[in-house]
Amino acid sequence: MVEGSGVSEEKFQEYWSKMKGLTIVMLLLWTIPAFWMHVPVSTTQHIRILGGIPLHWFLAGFVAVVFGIALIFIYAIIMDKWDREILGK
Amino acid sequence: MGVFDEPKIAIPAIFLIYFIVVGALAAAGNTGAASAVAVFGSVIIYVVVALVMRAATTEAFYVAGRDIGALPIGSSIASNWMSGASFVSMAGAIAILGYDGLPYIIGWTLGYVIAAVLIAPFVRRSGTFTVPEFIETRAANWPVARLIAVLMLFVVSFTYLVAQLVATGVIIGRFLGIHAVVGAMLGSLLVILFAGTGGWRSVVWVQVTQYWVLITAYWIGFLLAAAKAGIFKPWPHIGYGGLLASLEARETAFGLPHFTMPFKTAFAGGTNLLNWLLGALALMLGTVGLPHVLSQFYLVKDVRTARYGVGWGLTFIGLLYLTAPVYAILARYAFSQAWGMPIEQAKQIGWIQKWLPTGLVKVNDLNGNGILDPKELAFHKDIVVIGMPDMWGLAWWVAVVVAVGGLAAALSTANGLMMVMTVGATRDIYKRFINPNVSEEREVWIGRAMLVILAVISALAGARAIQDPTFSKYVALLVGWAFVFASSLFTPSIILGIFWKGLNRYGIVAGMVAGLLVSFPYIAGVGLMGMSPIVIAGSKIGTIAWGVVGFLVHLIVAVVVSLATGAEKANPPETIEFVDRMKIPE
Repeated sequence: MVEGSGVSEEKFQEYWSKMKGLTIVMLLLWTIPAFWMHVPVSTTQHIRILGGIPLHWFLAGFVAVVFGIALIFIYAIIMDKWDREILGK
Repeated sequence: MGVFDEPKIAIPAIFLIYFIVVGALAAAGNTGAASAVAVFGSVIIYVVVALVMRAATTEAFYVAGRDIGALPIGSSIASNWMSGASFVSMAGAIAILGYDGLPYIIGWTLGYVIAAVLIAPFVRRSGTFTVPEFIETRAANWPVARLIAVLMLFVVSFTYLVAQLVATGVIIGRFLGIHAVVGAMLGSLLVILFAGTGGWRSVVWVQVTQYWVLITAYWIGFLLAAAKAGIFKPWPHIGYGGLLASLEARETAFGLPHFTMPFKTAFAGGTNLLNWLLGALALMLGTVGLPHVLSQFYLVKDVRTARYGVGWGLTFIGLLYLTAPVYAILARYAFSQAWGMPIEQAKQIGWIQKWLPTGLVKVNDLNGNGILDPKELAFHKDIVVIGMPDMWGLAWWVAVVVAVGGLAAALSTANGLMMVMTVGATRDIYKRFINPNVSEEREVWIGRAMLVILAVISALAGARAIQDPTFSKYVALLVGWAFVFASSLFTPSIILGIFWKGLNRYGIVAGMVAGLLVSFPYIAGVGLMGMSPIVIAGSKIGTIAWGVVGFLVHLIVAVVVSLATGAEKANPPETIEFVDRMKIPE
């Protein structure tokens, strides 16, 4: 038993190892809008989308933030599911 | 106070009265009175909300009773985060900097992803009340760690708050024609009213109200201008391609580089892609270490709400931050219409004529050819949002709506900052070190007294900043650097503390000190004494981008020192239990 939580050691280990994996995946995905998306700026600045918006501008001023919002909600939904299934919370 | 005990009746009722009164005055054609009532009335609404949500328990005062749901905390996170500067200056900064201003957009948003995954749920679950308390508990109840943390909290929050009060003073002053100093004093007084009634519980609900006021105000001006500019193809955020193309065509005709061209100007004293990327990263890492951001994760119902709440928070922030770049293009397009006109004719353009006396727009015929060239039309970054209604010839009331929104943005952030400092002074200093056995009732009153003292001090500092341009410049610089300090001092230890049991008290304090030693001299040297920045791979690294270096140094020092001092073995069993408990939702 993990102190005062009503969760068995075994369940906790399963939960924690899954959670660690998801956390690492999320952080790696986060580097896309935070970093990698903007690295090829010398290429993306010459690509125009949506009738004249340069791609590098649109990625930094729109796509990156929407990407981030999506990541948080995906994380919340998956963790929610594990809270219920593994810990029965 | 009967009516004030029913939030579901009192809050809609006050809004209804507000709309009826303002609407009646406007319909009667008394625009001056309608504007004044609209601005002051919005403030009365916030006071009513604070009164309705009043409370006198320490739990309510410190952590809003820990019962805030996901949507309200999302709104509160967003208005707590978005300052008067976000509302008034963000779009303008991008209009001036173009692509080089976009690190602000991603830097001030994507930090919340880290917060959601690495911090918020665990901080909520830790059972502590404040960030310094969290750090002390994690450092095996070592008071030194808490003292350093609380000192840091004051430095960061105080400078930030002074900047907010300046913004509040300027906004109130500009729209009501009173002196900005009086406006700043008024701002502090209001914050005392909001926060004194029920601590965080009042402040959260006031912030929720303020968020919806500010976002509505921002979008009304934006949508009307977008409609005039014809960028609903099908929606402004993805339909401005044609407008941008014609703006850039004009820029080419006048021999200017394109607006969206990257790396034309320096970002915080640095240059190139590397500085751009590091600058954005430093802002993200700083965001999650700012005390007034962290403190909101304590207020939610449970861990689940913490995760979703941060998601809603970023969504609501995005509603403004994704609109700012489009706003910038709309404004720049309006400016470009004046290029190439004879100077005298340009001065006759409605919005230029109106804003010239304020100094927010400047027209100077530098080369004396009688024609207005692009560089002869200078503008202050605040004109983009404030002058938008005039640039696009919108109805008079749009400017009033913008004023109400700007005031909501400035007040909501000032609220949160004041509350963080009040809780720090009351719980982390008074209760922890001076009088641990204080009664609950008395503790809340001490909190209110602290609030008044802090508000007076910051009001005086704010007034000084308004009157003294040099002092004000330092405040503005400090706000930018708050992020560097937060990412160098707090963020690494908080994240390590949650995920690595090996981090011990020596590692925490060594990391904090190392972060300070790395960040402070560079900021002081490059930012204040004009030393030349370090060049990495051909890019100058500006002061903000340096925050990433501070973060990494803190991280490495904390790990190395912990390992050298016995890592996990140096932590008592209750500290290990504290770390384990944080990982399991209640």
